[in-house]
Amino acid sequence: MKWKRIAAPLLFLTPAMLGIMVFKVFPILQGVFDSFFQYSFINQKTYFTGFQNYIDALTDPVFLNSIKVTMIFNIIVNPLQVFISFGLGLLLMVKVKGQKAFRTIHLIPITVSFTIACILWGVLMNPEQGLLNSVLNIFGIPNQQFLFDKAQALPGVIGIATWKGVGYWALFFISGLEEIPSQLYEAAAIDGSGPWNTLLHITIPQMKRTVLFVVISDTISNFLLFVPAYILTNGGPEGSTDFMMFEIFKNAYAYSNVNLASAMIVILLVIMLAVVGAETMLLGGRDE
Amino acid sequence: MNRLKGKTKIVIYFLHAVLLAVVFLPLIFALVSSFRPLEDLYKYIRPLSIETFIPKNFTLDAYKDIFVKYRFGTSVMNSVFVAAVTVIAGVIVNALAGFAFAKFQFPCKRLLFGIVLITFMVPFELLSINLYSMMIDFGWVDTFFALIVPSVPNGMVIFLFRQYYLGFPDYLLETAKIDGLNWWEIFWRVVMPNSKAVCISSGLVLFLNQWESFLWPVLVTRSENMQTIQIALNSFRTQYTKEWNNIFAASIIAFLIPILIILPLQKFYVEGITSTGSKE
Repeated sequence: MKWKRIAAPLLFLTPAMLGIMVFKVFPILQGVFDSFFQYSFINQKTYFTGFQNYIDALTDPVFLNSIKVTMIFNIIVNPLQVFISFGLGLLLMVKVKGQKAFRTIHLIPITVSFTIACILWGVLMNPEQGLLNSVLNIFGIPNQQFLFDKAQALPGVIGIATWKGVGYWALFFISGLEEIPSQLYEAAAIDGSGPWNTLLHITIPQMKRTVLFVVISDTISNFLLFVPAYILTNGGPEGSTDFMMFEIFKNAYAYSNVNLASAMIVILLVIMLAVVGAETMLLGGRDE
Repeated sequence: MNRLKGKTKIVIYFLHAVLLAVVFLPLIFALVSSFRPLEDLYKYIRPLSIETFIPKNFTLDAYKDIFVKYRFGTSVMNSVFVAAVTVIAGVIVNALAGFAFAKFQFPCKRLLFGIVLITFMVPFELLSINLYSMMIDFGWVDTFFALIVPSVPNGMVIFLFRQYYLGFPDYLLETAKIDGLNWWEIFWRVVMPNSKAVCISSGLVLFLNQWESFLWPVLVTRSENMQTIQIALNSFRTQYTKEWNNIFAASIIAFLIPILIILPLQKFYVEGITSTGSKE
């Protein structure tokens, strides 16, 4: 009898949970474990080194710079993406002729991968032959170096990431906005509430959970950004686009220092969780 | 929302126009460039004119090149195959788990669900080092197993399914049980046929993840025969640096294929998200 009650859940859960244990939980634990050891090429042995990898990582100016770059990037790109995609979501809710067509057209770019986005913008931002400079020339602005300029590279990557991400996140906002009961808007209209008031007092409070979901998912994906550095800038110029994930990749595969890379991953994870926690508290996600 | 006044309407259309221009100009530029012969590629970029956006000497050479000379078709097929298998297996496996978390009582349920949520927070990229050495141990490097199997169990998709099944009417399950069906039969004959929207939105999450993945295929593929579409794209860029028209043609194909799949399903995608994920 008892067996029978367990049988169905066991059957349903085993494939997914087995996969999660083997391909997710085990590598996480292994990574945390590895971060406390160091492999010696001379003795061909692995030694327990305590927090040495963490100390090494956090005293390495290159890695510290990558933390700084990742933080600056996230502080700018997350609000920017959320703000624009929320605006796009609102814009696509407005009933005008062609609303349906606009929605479809705005949905199209979500299938542009980061690889494609980077390759395309790399060409457009080419300092000598790029289209972007031709456009700027029309307004009398001289050629810019964009990704080859220390001050412009990170803003350039922020622009590319925003261009690529906004449509995807707007999709979540649209489905959230669709769910707000229309009675609320009708009541507001009867009370004589203007569009700004309605937005501030009805739409935004109703969208709290969607906003929180998008902010958190967006933060996680931006903390792990790696493709622009790998494809476009190689972390440069002068480390200005050297993201943490790119440093981790280099340490793990180019310098073959897996133990140090594991410690860096744990550091990245701790920072990311702290940021996500702060966002949750700021946006009041706990009072659900 | 109320009917709009003339002025507001103009502002709305203006905003649409600006956004569409920003979003589509690069894509249109890529499309146009893919139809140009290589020597024309940079000829019309400056000064900006109408010819910047209309190919003067229209040719399909770039498309012929990438498919005949560089066997881009293999990469396309690889990506389609990997994504399709991941979607089918992933929807079934994660739907089963999501259903169990929503409708069954069993020991350690909270603990197990907590683990699922944590893996949802710890993305693939961060596990890649140890996952990669695991693939070496399994002998899966440069096989489809490495590209597909680790991507099938997905915490986010389990979560999406659980949220959906929490609202699944119990009386449907009870009726089926009275009819003498066991849980396995109930799942396939009652639950799955009523889960279209969530299956499609989860399937799209799984599909886009696979279609776009870059870091993982870089690590676990070696031979040209195993390259996925994004890797092939990047190797066009690194190996044949000068042939930008080919790169544009390949980009256009890499981005058009998912659109052909997504556009007909658009309605379900928005519905599926609404009824599940972002709302809890």
